[in-house]
Amino acid sequence: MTINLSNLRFSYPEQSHLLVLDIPSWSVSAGEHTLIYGSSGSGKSTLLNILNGLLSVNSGHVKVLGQHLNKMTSRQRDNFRSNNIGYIFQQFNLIPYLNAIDNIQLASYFSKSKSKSKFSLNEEIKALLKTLNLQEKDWNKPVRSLSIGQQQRIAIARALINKPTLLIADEPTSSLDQENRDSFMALLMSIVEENNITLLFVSHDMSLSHYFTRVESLNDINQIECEHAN
Amino acid sequence: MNMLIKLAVKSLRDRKGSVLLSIIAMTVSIFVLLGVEHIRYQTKESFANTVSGTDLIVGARTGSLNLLLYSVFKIGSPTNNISWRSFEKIARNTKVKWAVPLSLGDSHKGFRVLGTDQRYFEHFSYGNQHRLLFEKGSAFDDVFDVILGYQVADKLGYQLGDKIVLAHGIAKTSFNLHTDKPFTIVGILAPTGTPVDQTLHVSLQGIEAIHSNGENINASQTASISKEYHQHKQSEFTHLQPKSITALMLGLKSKMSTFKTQREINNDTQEPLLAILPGVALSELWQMMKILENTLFLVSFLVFISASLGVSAMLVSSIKQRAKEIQLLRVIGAPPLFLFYLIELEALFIATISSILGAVILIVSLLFAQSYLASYFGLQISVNIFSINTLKLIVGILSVSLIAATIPSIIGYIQSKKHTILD
Repeated sequence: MTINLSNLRFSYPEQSHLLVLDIPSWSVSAGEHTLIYGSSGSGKSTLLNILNGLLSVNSGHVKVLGQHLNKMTSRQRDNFRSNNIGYIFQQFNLIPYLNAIDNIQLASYFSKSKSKSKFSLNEEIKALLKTLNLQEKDWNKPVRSLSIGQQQRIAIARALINKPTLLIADEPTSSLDQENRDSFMALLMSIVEENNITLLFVSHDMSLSHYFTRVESLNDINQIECEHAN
Repeated sequence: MNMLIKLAVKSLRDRKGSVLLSIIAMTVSIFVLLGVEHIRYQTKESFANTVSGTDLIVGARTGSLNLLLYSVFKIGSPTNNISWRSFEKIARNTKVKWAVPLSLGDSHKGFRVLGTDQRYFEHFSYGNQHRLLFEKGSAFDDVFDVILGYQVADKLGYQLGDKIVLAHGIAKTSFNLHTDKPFTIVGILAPTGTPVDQTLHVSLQGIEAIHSNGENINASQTASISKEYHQHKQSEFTHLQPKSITALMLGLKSKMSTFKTQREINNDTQEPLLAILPGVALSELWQMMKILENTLFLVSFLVFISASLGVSAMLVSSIKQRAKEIQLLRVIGAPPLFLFYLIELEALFIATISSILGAVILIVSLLFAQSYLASYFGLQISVNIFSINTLKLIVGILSVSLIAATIPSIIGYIQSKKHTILD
């Protein structure tokens, strides 16, 4: 099991009486490509933050890649996250004033697997950028001068550099146009397939569902009624 | 390059506008702080180095500081003269090893003229018991010989053998030139870093000679008298005994008799005189200056503190702007401590750049102000601002800015700890 949640209950400390998530049981097995859809405010991002260890739950068990996240210290969770989980956001995936290579290096800097030499890391980054159809002339430009489509592709590279076993994508396509979205999805799915990565993809866009092996509505997972969620 | 440093440098570069303003504010404050510290240190050095080996300074009765300032530093004006008879009486005292007469009141193009005699060059010493040395020429042996301090010759471009005219009074432009009696440059002193460099030295007889015929001398007489003086210079030299001098410097045979001699002179019944110990008068000066110094230092330190807080304020507001950046760093695995170090490092960079700029600007401004300070205040301020003191100060500056930056750094730390992706 890549993800295993049981009896998960979560509320923000500022509004402790308001339960945001209540998930009796939910799991994702290794290699699954799951699409979770739900309207905004349904607790999607909260769930993702629990899975990547930025938020800790009030009660229940969060097991990701066989590790009990709620039994780890925050430092351990930071390490766990950088070593095992790739993350792609809707936007602001990259430090805008750094170039593509620096951005990817930065992600690798926080990971434990930085034992590899600088040279081989750079080779790896270049290979990744090539796979993602980024032209060499754009590698050393600050990423803010690149198009959103290019930025999202660099974001994939950044998310993959530490060879994660789980990739979480939070509406990564919603700022892309139709054409870019299709090529982004095709690229993402082929890479995920090739590297045998478990994908958890959150979106409100049901038209993407044909890319996935499993499609779920957050409302089915989360027992809290939508109106109460936020 | 380490990731942390790279990120700090690039993120500062990315916020050029606000960072540049912070650097300017910081630079100005560091410039003031270093400048005040350097000048107060150098002033003390320069004052303390001006006179050494002189046990007593004697002048007309006035404040001891006043006497010290006008006799040694050539600041301010003498209140009164003392008679030649008193000088001779003191010089004859058995406890006195040597006595050097000083006569002030004339000037040349803003540089002061000192009337004295051979003994001045034998006994006057400065700094660590350095004697005056001649760079060119030798001491005067004629009424109309003049010896220039190093800066005088340097600034005015004079050479040995040039003829110059002295003016009455000490203003830079005087209507009262002693044009009838030109002086010949016979010597130029080596640089000393004291007011001696800004002084022209003539014999007491020279001073007497230019004043002997009064100011109402007419042009036709001028040439003949001048010629006459030069023809009979040897005989005139002895005739032109001064009636009064401004002050005198004393060296005693034994330091033990300093206070006794001082008391004897102060209690002189023939003429009201004041004898001072240069060291004691200097420490009196420091006492007075101390309040001013401390005030200046305090003010410049407060300016620096406010600049540091300005940098912190800039960093705090940058944290708000960079909320997404912080969140991203957290998601890719940066621990909150990384954010703390990042912000501290940014503050350190700003302080370091400002320190370098402040020091450079200070050196450049000292280069320009040096001659002005020397000629108007008799202050010899070195351009080399790097001493143990300034290095300590710079270390202090960097530490204070690091401490001030803990405020934004802690905010960054807390922010990043609770930062999560919002819906």
